[in-house]
Amino acid sequence: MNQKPNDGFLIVASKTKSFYISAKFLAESIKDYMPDAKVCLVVDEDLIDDHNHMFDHMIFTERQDDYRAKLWGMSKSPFDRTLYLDADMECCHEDVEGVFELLGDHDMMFTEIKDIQRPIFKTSVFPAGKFTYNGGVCLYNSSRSRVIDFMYRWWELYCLQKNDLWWPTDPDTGKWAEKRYGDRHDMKWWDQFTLWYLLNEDPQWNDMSVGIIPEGERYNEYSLFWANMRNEKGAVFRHYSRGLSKDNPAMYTINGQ
Amino acid sequence: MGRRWLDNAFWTDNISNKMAATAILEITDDSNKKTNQVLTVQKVTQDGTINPDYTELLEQVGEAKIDQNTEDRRKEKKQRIKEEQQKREEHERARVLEDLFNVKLKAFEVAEIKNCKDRILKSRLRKARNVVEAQAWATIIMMKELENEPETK
Repeated sequence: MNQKPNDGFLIVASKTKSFYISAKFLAESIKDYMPDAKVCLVVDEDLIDDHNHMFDHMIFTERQDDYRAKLWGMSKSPFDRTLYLDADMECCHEDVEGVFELLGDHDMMFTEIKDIQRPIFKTSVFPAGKFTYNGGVCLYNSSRSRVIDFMYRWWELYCLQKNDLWWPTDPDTGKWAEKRYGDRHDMKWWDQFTLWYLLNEDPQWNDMSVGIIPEGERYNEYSLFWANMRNEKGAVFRHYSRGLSKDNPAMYTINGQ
Repeated sequence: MGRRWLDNAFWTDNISNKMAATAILEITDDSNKKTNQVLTVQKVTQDGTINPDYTELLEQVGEAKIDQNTEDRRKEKKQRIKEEQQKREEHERARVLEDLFNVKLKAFEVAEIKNCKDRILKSRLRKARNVVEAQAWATIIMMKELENEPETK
């Protein structure tokens, strides 16, 4: 077992009940393969029911109805080393036990966006660069205050971006640099853009040690690209990016329960 | 005014018959404007003579080049069909995985399954590899829960 006493998994469920239902399933599936695993849920309080024993920690979001509460939640990890997972995933392999050791001395690690996935990451390539890190899985050293500060800044900047209050400006014209970064209105929904900007354009964060999780396709295997992302060793986490009826919570209501 | 056959012509029928070819004829008018016509060029005309267009096509493009184009198109088409088939299979496999995931999520919202304390059975349901297996484990869990319920008069 490579888990340290304060390693843990962090899942965020906000906005719709289906995220909460899926988060419970994910937490239980982690414990199927790693019974001592610690799991923290960051959740909108109005989504939870009394069947939440699978979570070792629960943190309630401050703002309800925030689609990207995950960024805020990531800065609240109660663990020293944290693996953030999108709620619409499941654990399917005992190799989950070694996942925290992959972090090494990195501040953060992500799985890599493969070219085959680009269709679901619209606008992922733009004049100044391209998105490399898939935010669905993030392994990070949450014992480092600098990492936590980064997570919080990521969330802050994303909120500004989403609300049209921030976009990088062109130093020559002082205007928002559409030509360098693409269409602001297409891009503003993407926390990926804020992540890319902070790591590539903001000198304040250029000392961050960010890596790619080796064999990342095992830790973030998209059901949608199963045939092209399959690793013979088997998926550790499978991601149902299309499977969860994110906007149809009624689908998971059975007999009014 | 001039005309020439582009070199991407291919046999329309069988490569061994060579009774018809599909080809693009580029016509240049007096003002040097070019227009293209896609034509099916039959070897034999209705009166039984050899079609002069056919003869011209073979002279300009060459039989070997048309053979090669035909073979290249056949390979490309075969590859395209294979890729489309693979894509269909991938989508189907993805749909099956997603359906299974949703079935499991739904199952775990059924009160008897949600409240079941048997972790091993619940784990079997979570690890089910197809919908039939998932439904079977869901049924077993529900039967066990019903057995544990106090008898009603």
